[in-house]
Amino acid sequence: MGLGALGAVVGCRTSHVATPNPTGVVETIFLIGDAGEPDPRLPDIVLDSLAVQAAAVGQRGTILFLGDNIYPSGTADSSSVNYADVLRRLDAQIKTVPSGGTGIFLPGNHDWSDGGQGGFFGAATAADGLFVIRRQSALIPRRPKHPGATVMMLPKGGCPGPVVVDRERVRLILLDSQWWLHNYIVRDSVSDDPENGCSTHTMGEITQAVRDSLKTTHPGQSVIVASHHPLRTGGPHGGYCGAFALFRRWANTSQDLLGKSYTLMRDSLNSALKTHPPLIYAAGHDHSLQVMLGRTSSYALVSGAGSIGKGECAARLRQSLYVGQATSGFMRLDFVPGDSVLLRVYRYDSHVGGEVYSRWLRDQK
Amino acid sequence: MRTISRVRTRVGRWSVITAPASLSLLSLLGVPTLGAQSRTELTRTLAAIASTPLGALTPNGPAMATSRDDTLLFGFRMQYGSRGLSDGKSLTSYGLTTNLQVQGSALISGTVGYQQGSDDICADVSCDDHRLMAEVRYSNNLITTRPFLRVPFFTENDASGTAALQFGIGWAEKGFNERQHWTADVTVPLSLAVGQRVRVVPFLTPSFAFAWGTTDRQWSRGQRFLTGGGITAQEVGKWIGLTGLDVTFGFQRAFSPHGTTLGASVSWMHVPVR
Repeated sequence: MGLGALGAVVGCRTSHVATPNPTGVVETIFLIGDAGEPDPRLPDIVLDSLAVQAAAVGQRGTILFLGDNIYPSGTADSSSVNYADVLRRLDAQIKTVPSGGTGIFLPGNHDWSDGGQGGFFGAATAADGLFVIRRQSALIPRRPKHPGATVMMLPKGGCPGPVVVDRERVRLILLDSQWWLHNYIVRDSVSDDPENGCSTHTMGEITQAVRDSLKTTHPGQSVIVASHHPLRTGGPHGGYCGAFALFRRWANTSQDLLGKSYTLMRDSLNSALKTHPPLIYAAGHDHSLQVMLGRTSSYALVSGAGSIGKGECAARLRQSLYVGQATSGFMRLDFVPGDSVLLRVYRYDSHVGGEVYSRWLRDQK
Repeated sequence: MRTISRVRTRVGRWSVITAPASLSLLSLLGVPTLGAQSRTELTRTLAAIASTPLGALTPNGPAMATSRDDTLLFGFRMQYGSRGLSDGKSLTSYGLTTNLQVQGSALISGTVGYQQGSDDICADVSCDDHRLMAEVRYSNNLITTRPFLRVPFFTENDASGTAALQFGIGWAEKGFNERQHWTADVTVPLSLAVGQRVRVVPFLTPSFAFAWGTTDRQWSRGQRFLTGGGITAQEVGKWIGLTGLDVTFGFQRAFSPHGTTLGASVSWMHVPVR
């Protein structure tokens, strides 16, 4: 066996499967996360490539922005000197949504003012997370976009979700996972408003709503549950990479998988998901591209590499099928008639540019 | 001379009772070193190391991580090791290890093993030509680096490095006219990892080991620096649809005559997936 053949065997070459005829694709979902730091000094090949692909599928396409849409502290007040940069970061993402297409922005921890609370002695101010996420939620639909494009934040207004979006072949169940992890105000009179407030207010209500959403799918529908925070990752937030990885488990950081509030969220959502496991749990948060077998979903995807230059380490886990680390890129899901879904991973860095991995996904019911 | 002998005997009896728990203290107390020749013609320190899984079998690199939500995973490992002695004689060892992986990283291993000498090691009937051995080992990955080293043929991700920390305590029953042996070691496995479907992991395992052996009258101690290493192909089982299967080829070397063990292992970790 030659060295080249050996390389292919051990998996260092890209893995591809036959792609479907574009006319046979019923629905396309793009997954891109942590895209809120486009560098104005660089051509943004990730967002450009996403825009080209999304334009090709038009109204059959939905782009899920998996949170951390604006680094580092979400949507600054319009009187802030940072406001122009906030708009630049947001607009760079919104312009990838083509005419007739849909862009859904999920909230991430940075969009909640990076967990910040601005006031002295606990007094709420305009810099507090709940107010910052509401600003972004209101701002996104008002920004300039392609004619006929729909852009929105879901769940909106600092509500935890779940929000259900039904398509022909896919049901999206969208969660604001930072709601679980925020250490300050997450609920007030606005969210309690019976008409315009949130549909769920407690952890128990959220998990029950997730259970209900999972078991009421239409025949032939696959389910994608999406949030900013992953339930499974080999990245730094999983406590794997870096010199302090071993110690992060004791640091009780709310943004790490082993933190107490994160563990509570994981356990709660896992218990809700395992009743009717979805096809995919999609998330960002770690700046890498990871395709993994799931525990309470058939597959666990981490697509948090939307910003060039923010790529991080990701350990290959036993459950990993593909790991793209220190890279940028996004994932694409094509739903075809029947029960098959084609996953494709696109990455852009000094090694490669374009599709690097593909796999047919099927519900393992 | 007589005084020294009494001191040795007293320290020796105390260490019989508490040897596993007081390894470092013993080294500070200056327990006499092992110097005489065993039936395997290894120095007594090396004979002790070669009789426990630390030296009878070959090391494994850092454990492959699993997801944090897998609270406790079970796995098994089969190991083989062979050490050449003088005049064509050899020691052959087999080990069976149970691995427990806690929350994706810490690995606690328990090994039972069997060591067989070649036919010509024991000439007389009073000499046992085999022995049992056992080991308990704790391993945890300390540092995993960003990908930093470009490797030919592995075009997607650069290799990343991992440093781990291991503690092991080993035991061997009497054999080859030697009494039982104990070893304790601190090992710092260093590895590189690269590859998508199968992860290729070359590794080195520098170790510092203490060894305790006994004659009829007293315990004595020695210590050695060991260098092990090898290469692991992780997740080779995915070729046959069996997640969690690894194959390792390795060596363990003490810088002495007949100080090298060559071996291989096959391990499997049960990974629950839907």
